[in-house]
Amino acid sequence: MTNQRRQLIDEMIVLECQAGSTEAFEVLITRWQERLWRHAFRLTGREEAAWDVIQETWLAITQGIVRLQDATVFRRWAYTIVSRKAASWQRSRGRLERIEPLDADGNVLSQRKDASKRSPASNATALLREALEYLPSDRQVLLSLRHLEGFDVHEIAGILGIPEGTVKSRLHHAREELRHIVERIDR
Amino acid sequence: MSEFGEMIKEALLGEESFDPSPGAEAVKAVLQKFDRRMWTVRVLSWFVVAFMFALAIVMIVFLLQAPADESPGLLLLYAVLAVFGMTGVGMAKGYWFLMQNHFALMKEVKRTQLLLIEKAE
Repeated sequence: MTNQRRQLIDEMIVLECQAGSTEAFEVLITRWQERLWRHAFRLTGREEAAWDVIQETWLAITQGIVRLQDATVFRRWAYTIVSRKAASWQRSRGRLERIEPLDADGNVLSQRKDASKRSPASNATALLREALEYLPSDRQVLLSLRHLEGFDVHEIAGILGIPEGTVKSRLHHAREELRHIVERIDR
Repeated sequence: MSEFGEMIKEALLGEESFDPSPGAEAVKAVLQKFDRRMWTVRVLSWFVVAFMFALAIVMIVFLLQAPADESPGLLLLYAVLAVFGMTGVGMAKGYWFLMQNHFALMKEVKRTQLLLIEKAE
């Protein structure tokens, strides 16, 4: 399914929800749960926390969806809520969950993900996937919003509540950092 | 998107599989909340419309059955409240009508866009 078609179907579902259809809301949750959860997981670094954030996000969406002026902005709006709820979770815990960066000797991370759960990939992709794990979580969030979700810089700035210039420079640094890590792993 | 960007996307796509089961109970709770909220909104709007309608009818009855020597101030109050009630019903109905039309129109626009995309493909 093309992105444009998927976007139009999502917008129609949002309109159905605004008209009060619970069935449409269930479909909306089914379609968005995974993507929003992954965003929450990248922001919090913990599965349980990501589920808490997601539940709070959906509750906020039930309250606000009727007042949403334009169905086309649902995607950005939902990601913004997840980011705010995750930031609130981090504040309440008084810490910022980060995946440890690569140390000087290139040691393996303590929070390394289970490779057996991942889908098979080509060598280059596998290498990049490994490198992504060494990247701090805030950089991973930026890269996923830009490259996986396809948000532009203006939208990312809105979602994360940071200036556009900061998004641009952090994206640039994240890509550079990733290249650097790939080179170190590949060596 | 650059080649490196595409590679990043591919790498991010292949992360570990998603298990929705821990969130199943939460989804049920959210759906119940949404259902309850929509029901409350519907009931409240009907209550408001019914109240306004009843107010207008009662005031019109008072106006029609008022004795000839009724004070002009009281008659004016009846008239103002009757107009207020009718305006309330009219506005509520108008808002509902406009919203339903807006949703129907927007869905039709999206459906047409979808058909055009499918044709183009």
